[in-house]
Amino acid sequence: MKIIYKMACRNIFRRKSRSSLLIIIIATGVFAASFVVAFINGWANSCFVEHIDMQTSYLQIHANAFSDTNDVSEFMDKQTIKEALDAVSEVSCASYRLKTNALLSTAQTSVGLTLIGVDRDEEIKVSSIYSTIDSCHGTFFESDIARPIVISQRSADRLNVALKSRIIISMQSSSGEIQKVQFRVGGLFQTNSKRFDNVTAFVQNTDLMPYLDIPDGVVHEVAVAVNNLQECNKAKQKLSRLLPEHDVKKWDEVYPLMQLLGAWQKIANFLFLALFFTALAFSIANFMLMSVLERKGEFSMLKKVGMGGNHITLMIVIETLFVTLIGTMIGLILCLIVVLISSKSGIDIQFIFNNQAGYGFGTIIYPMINKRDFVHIFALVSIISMMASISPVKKVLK
Amino acid sequence: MNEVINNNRSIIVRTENLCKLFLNGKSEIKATDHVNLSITSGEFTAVVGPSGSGKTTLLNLIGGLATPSSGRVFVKGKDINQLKEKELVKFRLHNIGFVFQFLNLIPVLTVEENISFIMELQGTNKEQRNRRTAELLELIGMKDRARSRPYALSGGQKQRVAVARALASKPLFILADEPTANLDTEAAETLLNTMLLLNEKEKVTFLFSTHDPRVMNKARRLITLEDGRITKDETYVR
Ligand SMILES: Nc1ncnc2c1ncn2[C@@H]1O[C@H](COP(=O)(O)OP(=O)(O)OP(=O)(O)O)[C@@H](O)[C@H]1O
Ligand SMILES: [Mg+2]
Repeated sequence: MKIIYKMACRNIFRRKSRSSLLIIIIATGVFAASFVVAFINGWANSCFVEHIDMQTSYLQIHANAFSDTNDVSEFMDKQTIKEALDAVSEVSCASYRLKTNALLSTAQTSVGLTLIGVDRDEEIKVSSIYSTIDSCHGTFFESDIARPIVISQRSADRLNVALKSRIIISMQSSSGEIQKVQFRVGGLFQTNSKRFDNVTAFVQNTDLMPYLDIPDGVVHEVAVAVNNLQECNKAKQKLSRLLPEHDVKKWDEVYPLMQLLGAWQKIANFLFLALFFTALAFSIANFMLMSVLERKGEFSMLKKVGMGGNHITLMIVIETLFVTLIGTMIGLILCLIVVLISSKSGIDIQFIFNNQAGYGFGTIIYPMINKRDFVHIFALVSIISMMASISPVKKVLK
Repeated sequence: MNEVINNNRSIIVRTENLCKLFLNGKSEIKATDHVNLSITSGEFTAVVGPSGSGKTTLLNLIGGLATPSSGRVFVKGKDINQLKEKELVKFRLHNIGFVFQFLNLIPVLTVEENISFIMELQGTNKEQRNRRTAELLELIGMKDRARSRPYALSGGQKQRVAVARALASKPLFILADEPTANLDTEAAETLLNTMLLLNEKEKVTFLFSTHDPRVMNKARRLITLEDGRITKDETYVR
């Protein structure tokens, strides 16, 4: 029915000022809604990226029995894992770590945390912790201090220590013996996550190894970086197959709150859009109602000469859909432009959250919008424009 | 089955004790009062009578645009009030052409698109549509205005286009309620001549209402209504 489309399209341009007003309203609405989505995306993404970058890296491999209690005796053979990693093309690099619970004590106080033994050159490729240590807070194992330990600035405050201060570390070897060793503070890092800062400290593998009573060539944890976020799942699958005796986890499995955050972000986006567009549907319906009421005589003539209800419905639906889609297109293009511009420099939300709060994300948000959001928006818009056509159609067919 | 009368022209419309009552406060108005009438194919008939005599009501009843209070309307022997609303719309689309006093044309369509509109709704193929539209544009003398929009036409031209649209799909008959009421003498004359021409050339049946004496003079049959009743029904050879 080509003529129906023709009529619908031309009807839109009949009342140019009214149609443009409606298009502007829709475009503004779509722009605002999609930018909020882009902002939420950017926020969640900054949480994820920060989390991956500072805390978990993309994948982690442990012995099956290794748990949150950091069992020193649950180690893995480094060579086996190295071979598996070499066989997976998605993997870019890895850091082989030792891990144990430890008690850090100074003359005044002591704190319990997880001690991670790393090889500096490996570690800086999978984690950006080293980059958070500025020049006045030491280095990430680059000084000539004997037995350096890198702790967070928060922990340093709690322990009341400064650079080069002595700290006694107590830990248990795999045979159950308690070991006490003296380390010196070599660097102070700081992430945006209070939780992580409070429970994490780094030492060098070679300094830790002798006190754990474990064989040569074993590790507790392997942090793996892959080429990009999208290849995470694939890499995980391949590694799981190659290392059936091991536990391979993705970043969001290492810390399940991240999974929750991801799910919440999708639901929040969708609910937000649905709510927003329902409101928009009412204004579209209102405009369309005005437009068809103005043409009452014309519709009555069309019905008289034999234009059926289906055709009339189709015409009004197409009219509504067409206006809505034009508005949506403009809104999305605007959003895309603003996202492109603002994603370069980011939007600083320091004024809402201060960096010291330690929620686990940076205060600069880089808005981002992806194909899935566009599809959602188009789907929602099509649905609401159908909804918005209902009352005008009813009015005309009555 | 079509009903056939002696001179071998079929009856296409027949009404049987057709009544339409309107309530006006407490009083009842008999807009159409026991009307019995037959229209045979090829007629060029005018319904005349003073204002309020029931011309519009009668045409609406025959066209299936209104339902009678009592009595029946047969088109091609079929009681159109037995049809469901949807069937009636379809029946109108395929059998009856309409010309109204005003607001005939679809403002967003050009003259030629307006003419082919009904055919398009009927699903006639493009080639046939185009041929028919060209033919009618020629007949109504508006070939040069094919691409104009209705707002750019004079009242008379609009009505001619409306007539062309009504008969483009070769309906059984055409109903026209006061097609000339908004036109000046000259335009009315041209429209009537066009209608007559089409009646003769295409053998289309016309049933129209008017209270313009000059228009009445062109009709071959005059049905006079008074207070909803037929008071005169005369046939002329012109
Ligand atoms: N919808 C209606 N409600 C009430 N009364 C109506 C309605 N439509 C028509 N009538 C009445 O029915 C009678 C016939 O009206 P109708 O419109 O058929 O007359 P008409 O001959 O077409 O008049 P005109 O020449 O002015 O067009 C009139 O008295 C009119 O007031
Ligand atoms: Mg009338």
